[in-house]
Amino acid sequence: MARPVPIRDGVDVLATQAEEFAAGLAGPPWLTKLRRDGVAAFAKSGFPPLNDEEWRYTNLLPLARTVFGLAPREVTIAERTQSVELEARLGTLGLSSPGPRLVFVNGRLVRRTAHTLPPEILFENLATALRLAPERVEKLLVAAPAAHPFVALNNAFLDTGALVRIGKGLVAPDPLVVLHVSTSASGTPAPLMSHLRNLVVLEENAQATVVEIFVGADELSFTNAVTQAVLGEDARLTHVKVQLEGRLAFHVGNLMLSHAKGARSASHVHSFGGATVRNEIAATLSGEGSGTELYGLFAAASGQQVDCHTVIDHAAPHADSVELYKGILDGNGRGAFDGKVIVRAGAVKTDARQTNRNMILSNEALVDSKPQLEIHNNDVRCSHGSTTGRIDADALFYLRSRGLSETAARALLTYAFGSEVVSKVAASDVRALLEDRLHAWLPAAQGVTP
Amino acid sequence: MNLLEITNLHASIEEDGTEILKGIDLVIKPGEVHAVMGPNGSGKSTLAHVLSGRPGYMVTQGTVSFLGKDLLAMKPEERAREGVFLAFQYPVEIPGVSNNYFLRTAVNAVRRHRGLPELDAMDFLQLLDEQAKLVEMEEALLNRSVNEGFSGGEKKRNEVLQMALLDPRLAILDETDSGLDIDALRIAAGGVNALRDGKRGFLVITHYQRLLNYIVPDFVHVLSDGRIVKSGGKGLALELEAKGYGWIETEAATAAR
Repeated sequence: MARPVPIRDGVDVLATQAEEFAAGLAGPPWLTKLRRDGVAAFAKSGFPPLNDEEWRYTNLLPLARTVFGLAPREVTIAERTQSVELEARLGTLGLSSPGPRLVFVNGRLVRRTAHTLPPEILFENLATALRLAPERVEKLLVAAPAAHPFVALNNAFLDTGALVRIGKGLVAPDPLVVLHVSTSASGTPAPLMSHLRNLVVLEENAQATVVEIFVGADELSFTNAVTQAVLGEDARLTHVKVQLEGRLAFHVGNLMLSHAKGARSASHVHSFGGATVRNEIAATLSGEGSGTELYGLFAAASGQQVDCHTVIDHAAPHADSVELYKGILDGNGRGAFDGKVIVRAGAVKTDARQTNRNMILSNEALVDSKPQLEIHNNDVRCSHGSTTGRIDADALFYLRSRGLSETAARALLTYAFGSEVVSKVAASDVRALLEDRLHAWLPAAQGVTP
Repeated sequence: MNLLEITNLHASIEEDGTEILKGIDLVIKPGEVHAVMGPNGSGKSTLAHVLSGRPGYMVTQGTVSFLGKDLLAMKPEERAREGVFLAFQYPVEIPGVSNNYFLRTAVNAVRRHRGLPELDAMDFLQLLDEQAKLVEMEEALLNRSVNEGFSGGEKKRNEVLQMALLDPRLAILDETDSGLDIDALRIAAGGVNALRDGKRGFLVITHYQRLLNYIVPDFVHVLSDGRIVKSGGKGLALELEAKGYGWIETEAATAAR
């Protein structure tokens, strides 16, 4: 195979934009350096091409060839109005109400619901922390893997996002909701991009549910989100990502989970929107007896390409992981599941189970499945499986023989396929939102209202 | 008017063209219970499938009229809404779809077609409660996914429950007795008998006479190599039980010469 040649389109423009952006921001030297190194690293790497093995399913050329601008510092009234309208339409407005919530529009904080949290629970804009106490987030920010081109790019534009910190032994009572809205309502000449950085720090024995929701209208936009979550000993994190951006949106999201001894995380990715979407998760189980559960549901209709990449790194003994990803592909939709489980030397008694199931609803839809196990150790229990199929003909006939139209029967079976993943979400109002969004996504779902 | 009128029905497997039904003639009047018996491979289940519109078969000759309408021109869901019900030999498990929700959707699809108002969740639960008693169906099974993890008996009871809820004009029972112990058979048959109201017709397909001790037919037909080779009253079933199918096949072969 030819040596991958990075995509250079758009790289210089982005580098210039990042330099101008950073020049307008104050901050300690390490932060300036982090941004500058990010620019340099991205300028060097460029966008990964299709013949880069890690990116073989994600065509970034359309993204690279579109010039995106940054939203001006001030949020316009039009943006505020449209963000509320979008939320109302997608059913996210009342979610977890009146729980804690941060709303970002095109990368700027516009709303936060009034809520009272104890002082040991921090839930605020990262930009505020960078201004008031940057030293408290330095270690974590600097630790992000800048070898990843989109993390480097995120570093280059580092400024806003959600910062969550839960003190030792504390439990965040309600889900902490972080909403990102993409909209061109401000009337800027170029479509907009936002590079959000979220930090989630759970100290020893702390517990929290963090819900990240991405919404947007059906117009060009580019979201590059990086979330770093650090779990202290015996901490418990549930992270839910809901991707509801518009049908022309580019979205790259990276979630990194690190686990101390006995820490447990559960990640739920629900990806319905966007034109080109890549959801990446890297979970590192470096604490003994830690564990992670990764659940994902991705749906791609015509014009959509949704790729899910996960790496679960078993680096300590007695750690366990469960992974279930399901894809639903319709029209000429494209999807990919690329899931790697690594078991390091010394990670004895590892228990890892990985499953990928995909449902194809049309002749033109396509899904790639690439489950990988990389085991450097004996005394482990690992399994993986992948299936891709169509709607079960027997089940379809069974439902029709009871009076359901073919369309209704197909929608019901597709819904049932996806609902297995939705049902894993414990927070009932988030689950209800997901059920609703899955239903809305279904092709011709009229007459089916589970 | 006849409930069902099958005339010279020929049907083949779509995939390879193998002819399974080679000229079936059968008339069922309202209120009648007809049993179709026959050895394995005689075409019993194919007859049930073709009547219910299962994909994979090709009707090459003949007609089927249901209450005067051309049954073969209808989609499976239209047949169901018009009042044809098939109790499956192997009911399908559907993970992720609650039995309760499925039953209500089906009932309302049929009610809409018949010009009846749809039932809301409360009204439906009341109806479901009544009908579930008929087949001794526990509430827990109604909240589980359709047939998922059900025992053989529970699946067949679920079929009879669906039959009761959908209130068909013609019920086709495809080997309802297969895989059932005596208790399960008694409950399933009890449910069917409760639905005999003098108007509803039944087509009971079975390999063994045993089921017919519980669901007593008015007529018994013997199917062999895709044709009805003998018809009679309920006594014919007992004769078959005693002598096996061999004598009929020999008789049919002799007659064909």
